[in-house]
Amino acid sequence: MLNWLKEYLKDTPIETVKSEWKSIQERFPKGVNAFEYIELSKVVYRYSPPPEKLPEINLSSKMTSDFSGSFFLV
Amino acid sequence: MKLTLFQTLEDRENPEHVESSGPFKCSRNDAWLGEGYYFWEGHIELAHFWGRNYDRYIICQADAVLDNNCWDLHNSAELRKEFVEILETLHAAGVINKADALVSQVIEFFKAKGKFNYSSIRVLGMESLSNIRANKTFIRRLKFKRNSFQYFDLIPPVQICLIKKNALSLHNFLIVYPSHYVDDIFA
Repeated sequence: MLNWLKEYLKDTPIETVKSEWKSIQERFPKGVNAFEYIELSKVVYRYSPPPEKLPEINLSSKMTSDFSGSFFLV
Repeated sequence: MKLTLFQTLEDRENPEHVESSGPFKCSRNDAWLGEGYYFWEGHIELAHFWGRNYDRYIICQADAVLDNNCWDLHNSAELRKEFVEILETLHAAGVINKADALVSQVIEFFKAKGKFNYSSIRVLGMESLSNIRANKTFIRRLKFKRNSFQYFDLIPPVQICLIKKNALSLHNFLIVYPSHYVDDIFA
């Protein structure tokens, strides 16, 4: 879908695409914001940062006495 | 992969029609994945949660098979990344703005152009069930540590939206709630 979209945007006057999008907006005026959804999904799915930004973590130093592996119902 | 799906419907005291004609399409203009046949995946608790939108409700269960024709944003990191790129491409071209671009509009745009090449959509309805007292019945979350934010969601609110009624080989669409509509072969 992405490849098609890129080609379509390249070949179609922007005002035409905007007009098409407007008609979709009129049919579906309410719902979940797409950008807010992907921001939330980055948290829920734990997107990995790029390799150059990977934090250095000494896991054993993070383990405390209460790191028991026990689970607690919310 | 086999799936068990649940659709919640308003109880209009017509169980025979429900079983013979279902599933039913959602065409509301606020349907968050666009037009389609909406289901909760795997856990009937989610269907009961949605039932609170009605005075009385019916839950139907169906069997399905997850296949490659599903736009599986829950299971596929690649498809999630593509979705992000689609949004960024539309935004960079000046077609949409961040404040009012909806998930449903993106899907319906591709459908309208005949370029949505999937028969179904699978997503995690994140924060569908807020962790509030009223939802306690429907939530099963195991915290990794007491007082920590992280948890293991035992009833993740995964939704399936079928674009076509028979997508994912949907079959065995039968009422499972309330009990007085459930056929009992031993009665």
